Amino acid sequence: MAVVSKIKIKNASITKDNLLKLLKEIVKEKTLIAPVQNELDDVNFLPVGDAKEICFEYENTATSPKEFFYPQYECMFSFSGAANDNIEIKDNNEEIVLFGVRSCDVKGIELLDKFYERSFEDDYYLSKRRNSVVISVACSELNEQCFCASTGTGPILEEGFDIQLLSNGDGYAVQVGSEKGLELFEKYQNFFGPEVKVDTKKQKPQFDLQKVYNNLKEEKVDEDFWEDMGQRCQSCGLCLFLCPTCSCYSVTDKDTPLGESRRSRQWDACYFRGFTRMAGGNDPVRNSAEMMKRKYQHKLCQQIDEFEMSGCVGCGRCSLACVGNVNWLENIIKIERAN
Amino acid sequence: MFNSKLYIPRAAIVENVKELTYDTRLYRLKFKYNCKCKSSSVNDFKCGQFVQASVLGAGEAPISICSSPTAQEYLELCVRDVGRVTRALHKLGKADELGIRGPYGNWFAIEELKGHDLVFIGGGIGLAPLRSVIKFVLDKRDDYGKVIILYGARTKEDIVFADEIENWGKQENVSVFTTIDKPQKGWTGHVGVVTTLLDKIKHAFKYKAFVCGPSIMIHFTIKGLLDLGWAEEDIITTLERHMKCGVGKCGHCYIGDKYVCTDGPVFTYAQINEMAVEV
Repeated sequence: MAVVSKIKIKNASITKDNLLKLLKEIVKEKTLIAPVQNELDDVNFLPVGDAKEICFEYENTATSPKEFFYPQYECMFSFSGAANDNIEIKDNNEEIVLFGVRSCDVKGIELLDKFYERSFEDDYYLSKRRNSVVISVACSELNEQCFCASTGTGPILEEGFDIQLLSNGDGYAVQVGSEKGLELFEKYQNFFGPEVKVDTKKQKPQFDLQKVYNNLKEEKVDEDFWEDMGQRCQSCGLCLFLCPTCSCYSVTDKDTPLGESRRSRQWDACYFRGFTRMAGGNDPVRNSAEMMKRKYQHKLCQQIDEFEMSGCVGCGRCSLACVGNVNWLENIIKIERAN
Repeated sequence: MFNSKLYIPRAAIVENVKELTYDTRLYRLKFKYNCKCKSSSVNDFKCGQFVQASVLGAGEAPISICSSPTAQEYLELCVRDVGRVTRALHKLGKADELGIRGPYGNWFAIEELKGHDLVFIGGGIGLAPLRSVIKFVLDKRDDYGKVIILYGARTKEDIVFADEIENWGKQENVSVFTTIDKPQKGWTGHVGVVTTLLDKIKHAFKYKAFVCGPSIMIHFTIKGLLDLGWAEEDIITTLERHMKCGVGKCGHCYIGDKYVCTDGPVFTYAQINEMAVEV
């Protein structure tokens, strides 16, 4: 069963007042997760108890919303003794509504959906996704570090969303794009008004994704480029933890202080030393330059081949976070220009 | 699949442990309980597949199945004490329990190679996944042509399955050549790395070649086979990678657009070349 069943897009509108009222209603019945600004001015997704806590003025959240479906640390099961076939996995029945997700992150979630549905279905992720509805708010223009217009992931989406809001000054145009979105829309239809016009002109891309794809595929990029990047990378993994589509994890068994033993998974990063190292010490990825290249090829070639969408959704978080000043947008443009 | 839930290991009992070398043991396993999952019997796997073996508390590691599906009653794993999980596995004795998930990965397409002559080239514990196919072929002897086995180990103490290797050599139409890296007291056989045995198969370039061992051994063996005139698609190898999940999710084994756990671990050299991976 696909996590998002697309429908023919249904158009409506909502005023700012009614949006707040709608969110107040949603809080009563479901877990609402929305952008909240903290005392340091960071905006992040948090569960909100009152819709008044929600921040509506933000470029994007500091971290991506992937953690609500794929937590940084997740207990897979508890165990006792040597082995057990009867370990029960608790079903996740918490219904969540994620409000204020930007288009890039909606596409990030779409890619993760495809990833976790492929070959073996990962129920830890999919059960949380199936119980969620995403209300996204498209950006009106590109922010400084973003490049979703180039990766085909925004700022306004044509499909792949549950409910998409497009600002038109006084309120929002509303587009309903999935069965789950429609269910929520119909339940709260009193808050919505008739279709309104909104400017949906496309933003100019900063690079040609096809050209980037071709240059990576044909290995046109000079090795010096990867080596330079490898030297800048400090293997902190922050770019990968912030990336809406990165999904690698490690697994550990641990005893908790309460006497429970758990097998859990936690985010891992292919930029960490030892990510590919085997018992005995052999490491097939020999240096940082190879690590760098592997990530670019994965997101900008191989995921396009596999999922027919870019594995980089252009949110630009990695560039903002990098301590070694590795800038994805600049690097992609360099790859585009390589000959 | 042995399991009803993707990440939950199924309890298995150690039926027997055999010391193969000073650091390598052979574990014979059967499942503790029946399971409601589809095709759950212990020999329901194909040659070349692997399992995730768990010692709860220590962790989980990918281990090749080294028995053949033609053995009805059990599953065998050859485990070298080399890391955290394998050390914990080595502490297990007869009647102890461990967890098994799998079988995972693709397999040697041995059933499609009926009638072919085969050469197996193993280095060290790399013989383990090949043993599964060798046993399969020898159990269905009439289905296959000539068999040549080249096996190299660092020292005579590192040779795994020594008595089995000797028995294989006694069978009709099976030739076995064993070597150790350096001369050693009490060793009268061939000396040199396994590639020094390649002249024994100079004539055999129409055979299908199965290669497994440490990556440097695979690298030079494949080079040697290509020099002898082997076609890239007739060289079949199985890759080892760090893995956490075995089901294409954790990302550790990802190379050149493939997940070794789900797209592999078995690849022809032609495929490896296309993946731009060095072995």
